[in-house]
Amino acid sequence: MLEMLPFLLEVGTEEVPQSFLRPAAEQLSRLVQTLLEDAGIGFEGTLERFWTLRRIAVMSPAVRAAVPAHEVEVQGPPRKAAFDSDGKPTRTARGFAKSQGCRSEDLYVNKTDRGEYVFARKTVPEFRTADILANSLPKTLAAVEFPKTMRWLADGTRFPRPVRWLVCMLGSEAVEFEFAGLRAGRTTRGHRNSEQRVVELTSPAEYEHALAKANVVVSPERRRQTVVTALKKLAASVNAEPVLDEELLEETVNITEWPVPILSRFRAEHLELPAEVLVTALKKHQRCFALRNEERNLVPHFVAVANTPDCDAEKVGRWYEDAAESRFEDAGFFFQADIRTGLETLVETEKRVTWIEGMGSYFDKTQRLRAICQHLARAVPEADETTLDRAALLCKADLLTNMVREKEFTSLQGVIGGIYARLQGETDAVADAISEHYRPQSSADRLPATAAGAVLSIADKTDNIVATFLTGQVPTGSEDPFALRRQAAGLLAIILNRNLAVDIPGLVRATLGLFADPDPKLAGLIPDFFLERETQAMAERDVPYDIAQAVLATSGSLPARALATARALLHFRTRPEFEKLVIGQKRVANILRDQDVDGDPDPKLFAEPAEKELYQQAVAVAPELAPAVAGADFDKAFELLLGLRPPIDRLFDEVLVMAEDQRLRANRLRLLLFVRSLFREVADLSKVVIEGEPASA
Amino acid sequence: MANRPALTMQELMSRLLDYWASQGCAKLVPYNSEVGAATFNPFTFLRVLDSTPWNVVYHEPCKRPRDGRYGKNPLRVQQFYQVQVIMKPSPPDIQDRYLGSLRALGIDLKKNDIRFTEDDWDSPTIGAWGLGWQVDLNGIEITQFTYFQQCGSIDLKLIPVELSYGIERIAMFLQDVDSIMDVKWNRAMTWGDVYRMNEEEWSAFNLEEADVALYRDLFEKYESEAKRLLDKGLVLPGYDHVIKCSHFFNLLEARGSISVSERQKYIGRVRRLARQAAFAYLNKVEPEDPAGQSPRQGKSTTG
Repeated sequence: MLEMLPFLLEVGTEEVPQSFLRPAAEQLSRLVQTLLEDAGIGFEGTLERFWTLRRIAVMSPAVRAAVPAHEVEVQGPPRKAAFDSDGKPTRTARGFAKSQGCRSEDLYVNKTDRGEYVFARKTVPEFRTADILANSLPKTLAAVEFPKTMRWLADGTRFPRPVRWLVCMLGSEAVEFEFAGLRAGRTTRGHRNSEQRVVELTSPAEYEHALAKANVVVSPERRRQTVVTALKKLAASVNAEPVLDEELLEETVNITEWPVPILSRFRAEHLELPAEVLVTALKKHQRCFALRNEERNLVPHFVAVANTPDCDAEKVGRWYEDAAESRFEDAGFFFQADIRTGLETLVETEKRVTWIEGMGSYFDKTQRLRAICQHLARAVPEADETTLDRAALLCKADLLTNMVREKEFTSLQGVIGGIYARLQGETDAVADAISEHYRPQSSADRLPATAAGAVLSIADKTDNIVATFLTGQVPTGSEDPFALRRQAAGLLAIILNRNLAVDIPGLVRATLGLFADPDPKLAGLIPDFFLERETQAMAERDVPYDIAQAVLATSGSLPARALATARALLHFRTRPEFEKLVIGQKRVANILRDQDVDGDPDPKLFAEPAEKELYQQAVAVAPELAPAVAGADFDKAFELLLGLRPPIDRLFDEVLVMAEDQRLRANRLRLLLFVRSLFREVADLSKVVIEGEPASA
Repeated sequence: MANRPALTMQELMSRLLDYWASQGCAKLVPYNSEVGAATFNPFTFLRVLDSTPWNVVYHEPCKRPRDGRYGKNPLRVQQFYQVQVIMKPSPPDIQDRYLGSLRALGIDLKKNDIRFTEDDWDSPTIGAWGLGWQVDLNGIEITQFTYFQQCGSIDLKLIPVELSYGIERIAMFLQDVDSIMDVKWNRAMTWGDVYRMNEEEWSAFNLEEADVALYRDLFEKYESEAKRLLDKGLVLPGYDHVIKCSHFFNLLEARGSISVSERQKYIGRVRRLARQAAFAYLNKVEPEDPAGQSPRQGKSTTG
């Protein structure tokens, strides 16, 4: 029976949180695909996935209706365990044969990647796909993971919102199974306001079409197209274009089954409010799109996207207008009150507001930020010190404004501070630094664009990390409630992107010095935390683990230098001599490992020409290497080190380092130490993994 | 709606109460002390805890001192009305029943944009949380719709649904007025006629005049009294003092006299009291299944 049938699975729910939908639909589609593959059920093409906030669905145009009887090969125990010394099957082999329903004589041996194993051939009888699905789908549905689930039934079923219907069909037949106290069938539901609230499906193939007639566009891609087209058209009618915020667009697509964009307006006087405030109020509270003109200024219109087929657009639009009006009134109320107060006064108020228990007030924090910025300014000469100091002083004041304290505007922290700073006559540089000092807030976020903003952001993040560590809230495993890793990643991104000569241990020391009696044990954990983040930052920039270790071992304190070295090293790695150079350094490192050596070699004690040669060349390289490293010319530096390869190889060929004579041996070890120290000005090449060698940390 | 006069505030309240009575809910009355939400009423806070079915509807004046705008903001006031529905366990067709209540108010479900917008509700002060939505009518929130999962820091056995209607918002919609002050209370009086002075004076009190030292002191005193009463097993009087503490905290916050970290501490104190009240209640009504044992002790399970 090779008949192919269309397949559909739909889980109907009450409105699921929109951000769960895409990941859930994609998971469900993968899980169903795995289920089909594991059961040997053939299907054509890829599985399609659909969602609206009331349903998640997976569909395939053609799934084999049955799997015919067939033979499968089952792997058993290793050969060694299956046969005794006489070649007779052991108990293990007999047990395996029995479990597979065959005789032990029928077992045979095959080679695998992991050695020789015993196999059995067994016949699987024909089974119906519908039966497999009915058996497996309850487990599949229970396996979909969500960020947050709830209970609504006494049986403890968990899902993000109550499940209210299930559709499962193979061809025109229902695949009957139970989940969440419901029986799967052929009945789906249309839009709540549709004439057709209940839709009886005759085939999975008509799913999209049948639901479209019931005012549900199940394809998110199709809904997106509708929304974007309509937004542009409505905006054009008032000579504007929509501010297409991707997050808002995705949300709009997710929360509608039948999107109906409606043009609305607000009173032009609200345009006096900062554009960021208007856009955020529209987005966060109303889920509406702001519109702007050719000069990229907002216009007093916006677009609301309703979710109902026959709505009274004029009336609905007016209600959105009223709601926006009230939001803007509130924002205006906050804005006026904040401007009257002024940032200076709020800086005073900061003294009375605790930042983190035990870590002082917001005011204390700004004082630390000023000191950290001063420390950083040495490494970042392009940041103006006066600007930095002023921005550091004012940058937390907006946390106490009415605007930022209001839930929907919290995301504007920093931005509001920048706007207020500009309004009260601060320089653009100060305002910009305040505005961007929280950036980047995620790996996708923009970095601060100005030098002062970059420095203030580094200072703020360092202070957050150090203070949080000192309270004992150290990130472990998956626990990182204060997102310290993300903050460290952001800080490193700024340093690496701007190639700043910021010294991390120095920065951490300077910051620690600003806290009274830091717990030395907790403080001691911070450098390792940063080193771990640097390794991660390297990995995210395509630096392999071993190269990262090689450069971090020597320049971990200067992330920007470490990255530049890593890039030069990666480039250099392709050279044919590279491998020998690394092997030489590994030998040097191994010999020196358990030796207690220090001091310089004494040239008078060299007994062999190879020793002398290496020493002379190394001494000659040293004065050239230092400026190359200082000038970040790592290609040159590696070139110089490469010149030492022949004498190093020769030394190992001709000289016994661990000589009997104590004095000779000590001097040779000092020579190796000297050579190693030259390499370590650039990177610890002994950490580089070369082919054929097991990787090790 | 065009043909007949829109419902007044008082008609609206009684329609809702009647509708839910027709759905099997007992019509009850508001609590006699300041609450920030109808959830604080023991008809919700305590009665959702046990395993006995409980279906009720009542209206409740809610006080949110911080929201006072001296009667000047068209939507924001420091005291407003909720109609509260609790159905335990939640019926499977609860969304349809809810939509039925809007229809009973004369809202045309087809002409208007009604949304169930994700809004996980939690009230850290009473250790309660649940999942659900805010229901938006043309972009305006009119109802909080929540499946409670935990209350008084206790995992609930029988999952109740809570519907909290913002009556003024719905009245504004039905009567097509832009300001809460213009809402018709009955055919002769507006909301403003009844409450304008209330808003002006209470806003001044909440935001400017409330005596911070006095209310800090009262908080302490009511807190110890609540503990004492609950220790004695006097659940309702004890819980009454918990409600007072919560209100004093709201007042202090409105006066801007509570720092961020202090805020957390106050909330923690009220939450511990609420938890004590919840345990005391369960120990009294279900002594055979004492609270504090097995499934009830669960922490918030959000996985």
